[in-house]
Amino acid sequence: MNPAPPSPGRSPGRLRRSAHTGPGAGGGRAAPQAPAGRARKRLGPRQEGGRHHLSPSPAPHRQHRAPSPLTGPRRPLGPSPRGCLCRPRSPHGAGPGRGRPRLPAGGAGWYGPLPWWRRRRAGGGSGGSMAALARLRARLPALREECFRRNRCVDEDRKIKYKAAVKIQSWFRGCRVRAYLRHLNKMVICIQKRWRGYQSRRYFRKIVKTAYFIMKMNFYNEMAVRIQKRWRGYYVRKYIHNYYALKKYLEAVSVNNEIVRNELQEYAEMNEKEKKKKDQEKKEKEKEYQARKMHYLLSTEQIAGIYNSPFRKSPDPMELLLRQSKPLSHRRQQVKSPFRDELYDWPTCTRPPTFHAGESLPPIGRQKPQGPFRDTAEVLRQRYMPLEPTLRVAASIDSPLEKARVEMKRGEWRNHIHDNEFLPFSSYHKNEKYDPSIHRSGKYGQETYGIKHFREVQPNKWVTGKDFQTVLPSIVLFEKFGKTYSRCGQIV
Amino acid sequence: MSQRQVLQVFEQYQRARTQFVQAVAELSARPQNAETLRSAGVMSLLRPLLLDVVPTIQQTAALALGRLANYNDDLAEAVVKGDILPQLVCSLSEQNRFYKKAAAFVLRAVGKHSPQLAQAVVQCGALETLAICLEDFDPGVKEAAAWALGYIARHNSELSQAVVDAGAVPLLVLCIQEPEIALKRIAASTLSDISKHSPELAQTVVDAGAIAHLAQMILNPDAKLKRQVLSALSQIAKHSVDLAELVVEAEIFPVVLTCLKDSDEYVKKNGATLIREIAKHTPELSQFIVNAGGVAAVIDCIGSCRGTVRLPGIMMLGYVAAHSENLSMAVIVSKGIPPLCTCLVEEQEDHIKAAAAWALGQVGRHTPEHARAVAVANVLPTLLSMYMDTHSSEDLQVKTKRALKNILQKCTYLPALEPLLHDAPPNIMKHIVGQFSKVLPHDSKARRLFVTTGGLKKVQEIKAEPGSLLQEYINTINNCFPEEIVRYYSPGYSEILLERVENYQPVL
Repeated sequence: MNPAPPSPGRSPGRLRRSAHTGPGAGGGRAAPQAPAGRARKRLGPRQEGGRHHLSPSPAPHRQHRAPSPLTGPRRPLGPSPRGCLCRPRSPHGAGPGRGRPRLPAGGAGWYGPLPWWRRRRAGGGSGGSMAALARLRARLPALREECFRRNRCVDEDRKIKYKAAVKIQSWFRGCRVRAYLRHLNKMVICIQKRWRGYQSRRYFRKIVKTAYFIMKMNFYNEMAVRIQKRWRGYYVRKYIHNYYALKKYLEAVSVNNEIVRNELQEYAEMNEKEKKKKDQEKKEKEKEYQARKMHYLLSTEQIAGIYNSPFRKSPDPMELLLRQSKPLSHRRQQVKSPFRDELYDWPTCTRPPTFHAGESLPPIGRQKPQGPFRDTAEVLRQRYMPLEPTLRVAASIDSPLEKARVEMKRGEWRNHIHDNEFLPFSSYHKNEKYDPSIHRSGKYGQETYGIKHFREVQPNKWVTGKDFQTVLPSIVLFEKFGKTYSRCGQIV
Repeated sequence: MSQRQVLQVFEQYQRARTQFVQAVAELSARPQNAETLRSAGVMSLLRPLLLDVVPTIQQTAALALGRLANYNDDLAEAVVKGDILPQLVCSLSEQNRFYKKAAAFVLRAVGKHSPQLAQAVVQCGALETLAICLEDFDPGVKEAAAWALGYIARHNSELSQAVVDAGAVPLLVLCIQEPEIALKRIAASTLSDISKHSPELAQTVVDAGAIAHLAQMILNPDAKLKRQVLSALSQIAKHSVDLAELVVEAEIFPVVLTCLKDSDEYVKKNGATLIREIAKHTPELSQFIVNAGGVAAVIDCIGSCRGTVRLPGIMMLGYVAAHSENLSMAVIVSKGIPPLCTCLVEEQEDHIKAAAAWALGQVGRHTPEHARAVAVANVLPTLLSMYMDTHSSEDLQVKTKRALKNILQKCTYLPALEPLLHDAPPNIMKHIVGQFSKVLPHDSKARRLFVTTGGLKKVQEIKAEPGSLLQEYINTINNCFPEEIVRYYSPGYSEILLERVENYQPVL
């Protein structure tokens, strides 16, 4: 509601009032005693009633806005349809002077004695009026009383009504706001309900998906574990810690050890024998040398030697040796070559003892064998399977038609009497006129370029009579033509 | 005076000199005269004779000097201080072979005593001259030069490096191929001395192509040569896996095994050393040796020798068994444990016993099967007694303790563990009782045996701190048996019973 713009005829007092009441001015002005000529804004039932209660009354005697006498006829003060509560509405309960006292023209309005700016007008008048005046003046205190009383009544009423109105309005507003809040609440609940439901369902779907995924992965892991378990067990037992291979290896080691021990034993024995033999030979040699040196101790017919005592049954071996040996000559001994000893030291068996391990032991860096092999017979069968070509492959490249054609040609050639072709009948086309092509026809007949010659040659400008030699090599493939195979098949 | 008389004077002088020098040479051949000769100032007298005009006097003087220096290091130092070495070195290059031999002998005699003297020899520039001598035609000169170089290179790696820098190694490899045995021996010994210090030196020797020739000479019947050759190969192989593999690639197996059956002790020892140095690097090399039957040969060798000669063989078995359980099982299968036990028992030296204990520990530590094989040989009480013996050296004690621990942690053969219960110290007892506590809960026959043999009684007598591991094991064992039996065997039970008898009120 907008405050009605103050009309020009408005008294300043009204302006003031409207300034006081502010936005309520329009409402306040919609008092029942609205002058007829003015178009008042009809306000809603809510706003009107309490307006003049709400408006602060700066002057205690400020009451309903009574239109001034100048403003025109007033509406009768009857029970207003929205009458104020300070005036009892009941038909009987009327305060003194229901009707509005007829105010004198310039006399006291509601405001008791006229305001000061009225008083000028109030003065003056005739004698008759003087008696009325006196009468009025006599009534004045009572009027004043009455006025005061009514004003106070109205004031109290107004206060009560104001408070009531405030209460009503506040309650009503409260109800309205609460209803609005409830409504909002309901709406919000609705929205949140839907939204939460949606979120939860989404979440639930995600949970379900994850749970399903986890279930699947667990299952796969289980299965993978089973496979890996088997595989690892197999692999470890076969390649990393092959119990049977280890056992075999240890057995092979013992066998090998036995062999080695035997061979070493033989070698030691051989060495012993060699040594003994050498010692013996040395001793023999010594003895021989001694015998040769002391060959004079040989017994003779007359004198028995030391070693041939007559009391012995048979001669001493030394005696026999002496008999065999040749006396030493006086020649100087040959210088022993320094190598002889070394050669002498070498055993008679010049080959070093060879060791043969009975079975070759498994190789150290054992490669892992490749995967399971197929049966050999199967593989060989597959490898040497004879070719079974399809019909298309088996049939030759040339179609029968082609072959027949070739055959026919060959037959014809065979049957030729001579190889010269029969030329076509030249007289048939003797009189045909030649149509030269448009491309080549020029103004003066046919262009000879392209037919008779290709480029201008000027032989007098040539440097030599010979043509240029080709720099680039000829095409090798074409040179082979006719020379790829030997010519022996072409003798005939 | 006539010319003849003048010459006679000189001849006299020369004769005197010759006599003197020969007498000194002869005297110096006997060690007891050395001090007397030294105090008589023989050094200063011999020195000018080295520069004598007559070559024989020079040579004899050099010989005498060499013999004196050979005897002890003071004399050698006197030779060095007397500035004799530079003269020797100079004249080495010019003179005839006898002088060269004698001079090289002096250098060898000086260089053999200590690294400082050898350093002094090197500083005189002797190495280049000796290397030149190695190219001489006479094998005796070569031998003397190689010997001198060997003694110099023996001391430390710097001197060896100096010898190598003088370019001696290829010449030595050529010397090895010569037909004279003595020269071969000395050259092999020198190569062995050079390559023993560091892998780089060994690599230098290998790069000169020595391995092939050394490997060929293993077949030579001469025992001393074989000693040196095997020693040289083992010094080369000991440094790294690559060098060991190079030695193995020279196809020494299985010929080297024949050396283990040689009549000469040191040939066996060096052969076992070579095999040990090869086996200790990687399991593959050990596997190769096992496949070639080396383990059997070494075991036989250990059985036939006595004393320090056995040590490399024992260590070789330990190394082979240490690599993996399969190899350890191979050692067991080759009947390796009885010789090791006999070594442990018979030998007097502590370090050999320690080696045998270590080897047994390596054999038995892998799995219960291995531990059982060792325990069955009844060797655990011996190890324990050695550990407890106060006379054993610390090294022996440590090794036996570790071996016992390793074997006991895997041993489930209870009859062998029984005797140990009675006298083991607490730290070993822990392991024994632990093993019992692992086996007894599962084996009822063992429990019965445990009770009847008095093991339960012994266990009750053990005092252990509550909360310690030993107490836990004891509790586990006690839980295997019914309570009455445990109480019956607890110490002081008879007293408790008698007390009960005393306090008993007879029921009338």
